[in-house]
Amino acid sequence: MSASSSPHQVSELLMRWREGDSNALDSLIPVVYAELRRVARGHLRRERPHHTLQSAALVHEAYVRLASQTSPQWENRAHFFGVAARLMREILVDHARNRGAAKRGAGTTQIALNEALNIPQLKSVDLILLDDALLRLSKLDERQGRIVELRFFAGLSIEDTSEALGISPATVSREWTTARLWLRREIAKANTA
Amino acid sequence: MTPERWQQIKGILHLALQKQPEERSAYVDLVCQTDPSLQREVKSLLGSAPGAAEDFLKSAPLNRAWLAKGDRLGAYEIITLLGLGGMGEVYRAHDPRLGRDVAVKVLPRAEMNEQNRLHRFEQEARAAAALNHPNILAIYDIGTTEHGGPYVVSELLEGCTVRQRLELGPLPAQEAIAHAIQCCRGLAAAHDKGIIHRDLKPENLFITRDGVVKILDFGLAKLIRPLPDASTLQNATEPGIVLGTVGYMSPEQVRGESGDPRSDIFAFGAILYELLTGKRAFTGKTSADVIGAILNQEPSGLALSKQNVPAFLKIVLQRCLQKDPAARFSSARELLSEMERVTVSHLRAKPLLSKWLVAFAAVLLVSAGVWKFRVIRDSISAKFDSRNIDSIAVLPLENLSGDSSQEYFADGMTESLITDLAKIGVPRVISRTSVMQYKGTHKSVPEIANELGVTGIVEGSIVRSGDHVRVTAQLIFGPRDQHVWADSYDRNLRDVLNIENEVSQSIAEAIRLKLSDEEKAHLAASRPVDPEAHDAYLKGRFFWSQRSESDLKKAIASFQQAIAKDPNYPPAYAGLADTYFYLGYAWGKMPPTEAMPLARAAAQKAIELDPNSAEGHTSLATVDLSYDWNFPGAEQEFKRAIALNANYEWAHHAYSALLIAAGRPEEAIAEGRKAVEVDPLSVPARNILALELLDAGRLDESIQLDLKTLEIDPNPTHLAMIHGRLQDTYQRKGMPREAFEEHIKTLQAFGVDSKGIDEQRKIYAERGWRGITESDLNSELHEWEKEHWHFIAFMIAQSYARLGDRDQAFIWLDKCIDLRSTMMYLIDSDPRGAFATLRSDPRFAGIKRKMGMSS
Repeated sequence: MSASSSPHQVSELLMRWREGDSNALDSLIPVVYAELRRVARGHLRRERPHHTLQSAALVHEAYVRLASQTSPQWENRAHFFGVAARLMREILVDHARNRGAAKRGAGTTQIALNEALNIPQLKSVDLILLDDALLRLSKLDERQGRIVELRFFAGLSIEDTSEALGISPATVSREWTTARLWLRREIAKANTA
Repeated sequence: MTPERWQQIKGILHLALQKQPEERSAYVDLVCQTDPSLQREVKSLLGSAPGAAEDFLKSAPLNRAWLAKGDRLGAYEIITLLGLGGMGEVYRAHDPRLGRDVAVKVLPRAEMNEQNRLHRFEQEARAAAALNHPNILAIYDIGTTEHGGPYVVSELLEGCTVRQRLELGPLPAQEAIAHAIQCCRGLAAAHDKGIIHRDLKPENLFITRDGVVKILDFGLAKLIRPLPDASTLQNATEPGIVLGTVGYMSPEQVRGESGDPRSDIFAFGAILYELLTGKRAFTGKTSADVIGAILNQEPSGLALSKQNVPAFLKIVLQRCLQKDPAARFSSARELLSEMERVTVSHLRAKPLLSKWLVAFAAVLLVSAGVWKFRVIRDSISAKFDSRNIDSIAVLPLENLSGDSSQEYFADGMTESLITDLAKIGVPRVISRTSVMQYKGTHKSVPEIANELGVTGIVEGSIVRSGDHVRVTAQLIFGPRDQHVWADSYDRNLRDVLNIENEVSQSIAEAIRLKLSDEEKAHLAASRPVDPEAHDAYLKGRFFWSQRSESDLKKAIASFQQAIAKDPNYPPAYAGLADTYFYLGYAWGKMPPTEAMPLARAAAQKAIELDPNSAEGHTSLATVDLSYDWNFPGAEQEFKRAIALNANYEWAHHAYSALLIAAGRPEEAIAEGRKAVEVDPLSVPARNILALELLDAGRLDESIQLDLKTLEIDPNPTHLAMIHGRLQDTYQRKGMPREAFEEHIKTLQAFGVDSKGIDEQRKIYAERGWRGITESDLNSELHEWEKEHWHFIAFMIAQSYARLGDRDQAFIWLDKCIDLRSTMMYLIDSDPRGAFATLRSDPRFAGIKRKMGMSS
């Protein structure tokens, strides 16, 4: 990738990606990834001891940071969130796995995501189990997996998710509902297993 | 399960969910009659739905209380639901004890399920209740529902919210001003008590039937954030629910900061704008667009002109809506006085106004108007500008390779960036030792920027695999944690120097530093370097920075390896020189007669290859000073080095040591301060400055600095140095008890056990300082027997001098000269005050003559 230091670099890359230049995504990922990590790390630094990673807040903050250096009319928002959701998932799951590894024998890592997810009933989601279950769901239905990723890890609204994937809001909410039922059951199964 | 099967299950699930909960089971039985496994699957999935709210999308997000008429909440009897807000339900209720009606707001439980949050809620509510002001909603009581949701009881208001009023269109300027001033009064009263609203918006401002404005929900915003969910997102009046009511948030709040009184000022500005124009100050189709507008756009001035908003008001608005909090009114109190002044002048323009008011207004204008305007203009122009970055700290680049053996590579790259930025003339670049303290830190960027006193922070990461390297770097405006520039580079390892140069150049451009052609050429002229040589060099610098003797030996091996790969690579020689210098100084036990000639040869080679090497000249100067005791020669080299790179901590540091030794205390302090400035957290830099202050007799300043350095948490060697100096300083202040306690701490830092400490206390109790010095001397002599180290010889000379044994002191000083002790250059200034008794002795001048120093 060129060493251009244009402040519009991120939005240019998004534009190119949207226009079908797959190399643009490769160049974009490290930038977004670095930003997400930075934001996430910042939160981990600041947050209370049992830090609650609010993935939606993190993604939005990352977006604000990147958006603030480019044009405010960012048409590629949806694409950004697509990338961000995937990366956020990696960051959170990695984090959970590393913590689990560090505390071997202390059981699996529980990270309270209820604030970010607004699923009051799912008080603390075992992220690793969730990740595994989501992996299986994606094999059954890739689009449904993407919906969960966007809603869950990037905190997108139904409307934003629909915009990102180019499907109707009604479809998104239908798929989201059944996906949650499925995930909830899979996690419960794994927890009792 | 197959994808096809899942589609089938989903279809049935979807249909089942549309039935009433009690009908679902029968429905599934019906449609799955012929397929028992399908039936089990669907039922198991339905079973995973929580009983209370089967359909997530229809369930209310916030566990609403839904109280009905006649329900009781504590002492209060619910009468009717008044409204629903993002924060919960509001009921009209009756308080039978006082026989009056009140408003009860029940807050969502889901957000409040933690004890500490509940506790905080109570604290905040108590604080808000203490705000007894006509323009703030009066809080009567708080409590908790049986479901655990907290509730707030307040005065019952009749009228409408500002939001409802706005639905009728913009307000006439006079009415808008009248409302705004009332709101301002309430805000000022709250800010005076240190209470910030944080979520001021038209929904939270109430206009009673009597035209009194009341601010609602003080202190609650911090506790309760509206949550993203289908039901709230569908509410068209609240775009951007994801991050709260985005439209009235200040830039700092949308960036995730908690905000301060000036955030309320911003929100007030946005509301005033809307009151005057009927239009939102910041708009967008989605929350993201609104955020973009808040961060980057000014509200439309056209709308203001259309409504004939008076110019004075426009200026107030503009100042409220500054992106930088520092450019806004600093408090609601200040805003209020400005608003009141504006009102007067606005009314003055009206023909109906009485004469005395005109006179009053005129006086105000004459007295306050002129400079007020200047203040306003100045603060508006003080907006953030990347040119404000005049100092940079490069935080340790993160090694994302997942391989800790690559750590040195990331550290080396960090160092190269620091050097490059310093060379291209960034006014102040924090040097390596200070930034390395932030490796793996848990501090935020603004905190770090504040601690180091810089405006720019460079952060980044490196992934290296084989010959391939990917570097990501970003420049952040530290105080605001805001991006200025970011980029990533994918290269072959061979190009690594080019990446460093490109990053430096991009940063220079980002902060609009004008590079001279010479500087550009300097950057561009990076000769191709053998990647293996560079690699070995970085490894060497890493070991060098560790400073233990074993690490220094590894550093030598690495630099030699780099030289073997590329015999014309100047930095490798400078690194080698610095390592030998350390080994012969006090960090290693190599005899100076061996180490220093090697250091000099390497420094000269570095200079020969690159006459502009600040590092090379500094290395040479340190040898001239401490080994040859050649003060003028060393000074010339130091000055040359500093001219080449004013951001090189080691040059300032070592030069200031020369200045102490030369008996120029004030110059030494000035130079020592420069070292601390470019490397604020470097313990050695602070150590030398403290020594200089002690030397100059500025004892209290020296003590202050040492005590502050102790907060940095120095390593044991440095700890011992600091306590040792505090001991000297207290001695000079005539405080022997304090000095002795510092002595004990010095010993503890050296690892002396409690038995040894008790012994020292006993000696001190029996024989005082003399006893201690005798005991020191004994152990020093013992050390000397084991190893003839020049450093110990110098210590022995000091101890004898303190004990008044001049003959022995001179014998040992003579020995130091023979050993070419690198401590001897300090003989004349003697900052520790050991040689005071020797000065008058003619032998002292003899020592100096022997060293080649004039007396």
